[in-house]
Amino acid sequence: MRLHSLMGLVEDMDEEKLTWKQKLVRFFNRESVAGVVCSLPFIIGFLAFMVVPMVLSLFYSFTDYSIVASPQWVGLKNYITMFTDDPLFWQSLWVTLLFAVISVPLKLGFALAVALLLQRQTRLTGFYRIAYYLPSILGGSVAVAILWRRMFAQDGVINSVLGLFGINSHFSWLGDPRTAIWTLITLSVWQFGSSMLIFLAALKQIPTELYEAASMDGAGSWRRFKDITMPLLTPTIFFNLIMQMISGFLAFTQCYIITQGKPLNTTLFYMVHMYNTSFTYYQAGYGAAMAWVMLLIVGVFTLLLFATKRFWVYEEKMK
Amino acid sequence: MSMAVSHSTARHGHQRHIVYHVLVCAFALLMLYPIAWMFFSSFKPTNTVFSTAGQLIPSTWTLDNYVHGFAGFSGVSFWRYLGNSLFIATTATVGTVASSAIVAYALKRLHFHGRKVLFVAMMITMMLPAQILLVPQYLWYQKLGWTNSYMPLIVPYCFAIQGFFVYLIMNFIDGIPLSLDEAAKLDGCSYYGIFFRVILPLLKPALVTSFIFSFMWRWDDFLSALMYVSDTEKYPVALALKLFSDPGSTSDYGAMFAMCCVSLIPSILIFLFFQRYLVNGVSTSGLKG
Amino acid sequence: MDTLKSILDSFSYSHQSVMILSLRKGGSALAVCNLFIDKRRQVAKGAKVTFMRRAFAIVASIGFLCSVSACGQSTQTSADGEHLTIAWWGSQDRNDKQAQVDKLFEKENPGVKIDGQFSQYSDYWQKLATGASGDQMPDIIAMDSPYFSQYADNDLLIDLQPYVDAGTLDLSEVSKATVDAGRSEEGNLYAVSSGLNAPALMYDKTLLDSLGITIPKNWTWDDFIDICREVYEASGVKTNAGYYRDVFVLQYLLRGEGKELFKNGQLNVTDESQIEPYFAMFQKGIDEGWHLDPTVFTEISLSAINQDPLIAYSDAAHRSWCNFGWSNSLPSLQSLVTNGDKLALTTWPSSNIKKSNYVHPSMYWAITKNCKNPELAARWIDFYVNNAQANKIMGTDRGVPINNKMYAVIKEGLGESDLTAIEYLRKVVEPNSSTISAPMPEKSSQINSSIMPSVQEEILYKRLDAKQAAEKFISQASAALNR
Repeated sequence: MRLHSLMGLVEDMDEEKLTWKQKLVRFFNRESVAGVVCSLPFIIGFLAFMVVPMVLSLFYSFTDYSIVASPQWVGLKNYITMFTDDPLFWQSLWVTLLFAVISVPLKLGFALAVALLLQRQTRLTGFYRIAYYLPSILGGSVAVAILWRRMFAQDGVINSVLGLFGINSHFSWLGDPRTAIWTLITLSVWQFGSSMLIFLAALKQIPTELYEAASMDGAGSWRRFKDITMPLLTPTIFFNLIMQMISGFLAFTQCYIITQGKPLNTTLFYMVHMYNTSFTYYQAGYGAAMAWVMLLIVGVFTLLLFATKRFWVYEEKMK
Repeated sequence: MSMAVSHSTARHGHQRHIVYHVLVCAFALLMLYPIAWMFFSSFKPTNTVFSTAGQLIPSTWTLDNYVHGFAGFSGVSFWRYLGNSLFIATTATVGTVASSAIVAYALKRLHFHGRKVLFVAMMITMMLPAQILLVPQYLWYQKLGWTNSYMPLIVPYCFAIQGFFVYLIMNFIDGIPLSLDEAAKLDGCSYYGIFFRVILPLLKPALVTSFIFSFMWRWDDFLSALMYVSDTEKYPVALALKLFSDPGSTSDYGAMFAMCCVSLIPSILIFLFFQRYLVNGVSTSGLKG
Repeated sequence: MDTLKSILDSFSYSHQSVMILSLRKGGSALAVCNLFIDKRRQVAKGAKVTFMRRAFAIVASIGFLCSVSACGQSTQTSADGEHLTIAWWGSQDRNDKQAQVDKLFEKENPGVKIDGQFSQYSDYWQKLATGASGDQMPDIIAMDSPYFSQYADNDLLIDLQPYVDAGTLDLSEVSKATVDAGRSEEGNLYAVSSGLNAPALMYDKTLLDSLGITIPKNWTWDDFIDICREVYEASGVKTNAGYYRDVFVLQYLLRGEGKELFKNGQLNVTDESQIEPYFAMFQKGIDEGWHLDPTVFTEISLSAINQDPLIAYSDAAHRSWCNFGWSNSLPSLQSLVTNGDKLALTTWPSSNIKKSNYVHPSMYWAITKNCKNPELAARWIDFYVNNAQANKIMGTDRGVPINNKMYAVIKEGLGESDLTAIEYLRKVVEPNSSTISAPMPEKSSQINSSIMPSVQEEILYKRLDAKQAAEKFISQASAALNR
């Protein structure tokens, strides 16, 4: 009854003559317009601050640009050199791939596990949350570099701890080409706190009534986890996966401040190689080309992940 | 019989409680060890920092490192650097969170032409490394007349150009039932109204998370500051700390660790303060009878 | 009824129960929705208001605090009077001294305001390059030999000769060799040296004395290798033969044989036998065990002087008895010695010391093309070089003052190691050296920071032998120069 009267009211409005002001309001209230208005900040920002630099850097990738001199057009030369004449390109790509593929699942695994563990409210939960999050605040500071080198040094903490277990170790974790990359992987995984935070927030979003209703129906904690928590978490898992994958491929600071690629370029990240090329060897054109190739690679991986999305990510359908 | 059962389950629960705490606590301490090492090293005399690296607790405690650190560089006190960082980080963060929230709403909840294109553009901003845009952006900002100022460090962030936050908030908006939107619409709410009155209040965990992350990232960012801030008095902490670590000559590692610890404090404070909003999420319990 | 049903269906599980409960109490669909939304709004509003209020309060107070502190002092760009921006890299120590010198200049030239910008070494070049691309470099910049050609050849620096000829920049008390060190290959004067040093081997004299080893005066590379072996066999202390560094040592070696490493922007070496002995030294070192294991270098920060194996080591296997460096590092190194050992200086070994050795500008001052007042800038450089007070303040921070008269002026303020370093330069190097080589070609930065270190690394990790290393170096270096 009331619904009908409301509808009637709406129809009545249509027939009145509308003032400019009312027409304007009507216009902005249209969904298509509201959408544009609300995304205006990004549109402005993207056009104003990103488009020009992006186009410029694409242009540079086709030039010989030493930064201090004007760019000289060379066409595809940079790209061809990259694929045929630069062993460090392939090396750094391989290292970065290895780094991303190993550190990302480990990081997410720990983040999820700890977030779930911290669901249990105890008096120490606040302390635990801070403790697990603190490492990721450290970021890529110089202090972390010094810290990490000391820890994995031959006379460092890691070897001392192994000594406690009876393993007499003077192994040089940073010096051996086989193990050096693992020190960086460890650093990355150690800083899982940020992913954990996102999982914590997402877990809080799951309505508690769902759990209540389920336990009223007689579901045990494992079933509650399997049928409520996990499905509702899949969007967040997907989000974290994308984010960590991207940051894994674009990793820079760990290599730059701790190992600089040593030993024998087994820890040379793609981004560090690109940075060196641009700013140390003054070949910014080649560096730009490298960056765009990486963008393509990351884009492909992202697309692949999005393609798998509908198979395992629970999503509330938008009509 | 039932008494015995309940007694053993109680004990069993108690045991599990202890095991839980032992495991989680041990692991937490392990995570903290490197930071603890840095913290304690800042109290060691600076030239013994490395020679006593294996020793966690200092044998001689000293506040010298903090004194030296706060005296600052070339007459610019460390408080000044902290103030600079605080200003930059806060303004940029508020701008980021606000603009990202509204853009995320548009991309997730509203149908309009070009939505897919914008989404792709947003993803691209996430996939672009900072270094690739360094020189072109510098040239562009120079044309805008923004060199030697804080503008490039703050203004762009107020326009939601960091896809990470837009995507994060989009993800959280996903968890808000669509039916709420529709019900509000039936109620006569405009799309903008839906955002401010329905979505935004329910986005608290997302906003808090974004705030924490954005603050941290702005605080740690030294690359932009290096490019665009020329006056040493205007340096943010991240850049000032790098100055400290010039390896060309003797480095005061003790002071550097001390200042590093100090610069961690705002991030920790922000986290401590805002984490309660993460804890008490938003329960969607509506009416009870 | 359909509407109600569809609304109910679209609500998720948790809300349906709520809806049904409310409906049973007799409300209409819309009313229920309204109620739901209102209640939610109330709760959310309340929470939102508190949250927003608190957040706003915090942000406002923080903002207020920082605006007070951060906007406190503004940099005055003097509307009248002249303004100079000067950029350099350095430690805290240097920055303090430099600030004093600048203040002195301001005092003697009223109306002039100097803006000093300093940063860390690697950041410095990144920032400078970006500034160059945008035509916004500082007026006066500190310059270093590896980057000299980059800036000089791309017309980013101005020719200082006119100012010297006019007398604004007085270099009469500076030796000709030193002045010429700031010239490009064509002969234009692009930079003025801000301090002098020379190639020098710092070594632990106390250790060598205790082992009864002395270094002969004009020693050769073979002498060097012999001594390395002796030290290792007698004490287990190893050697750092200038590992993971640039091509300066190689260039020095070739000079001893009358050859230059670079010529006309190209590698002047065609036959690997010319440079094989240099790489053979590393190979012998690692094969015979007297060279430091490469893993030692992965655990330290290579550019941090206080982690150098000469003075920072946990045991003999991590220790080096020498350091291939520059003479003005002696004071810093000596100050970092913790066990009372004395360090001493000698020349780098060579087949012909006189041909190899040279006086080297530790760094330069140059005026960029973006300088609006080059005459004032030239006067500043003149002040830095010739003013007694300024020299007294700077001491030997950037090396030995280039003005020969200044040595007497600064002598009293100097410590023992400083004096030793200066003595070394004046008494050992100057009489027994030749003209410095031309600045390294523009594209040589890759050779210095990547190719040479990599090749050395591969030898020490036993992936290459000396001959292969020499071949690899030649091919990669030529490729880099011809890119």
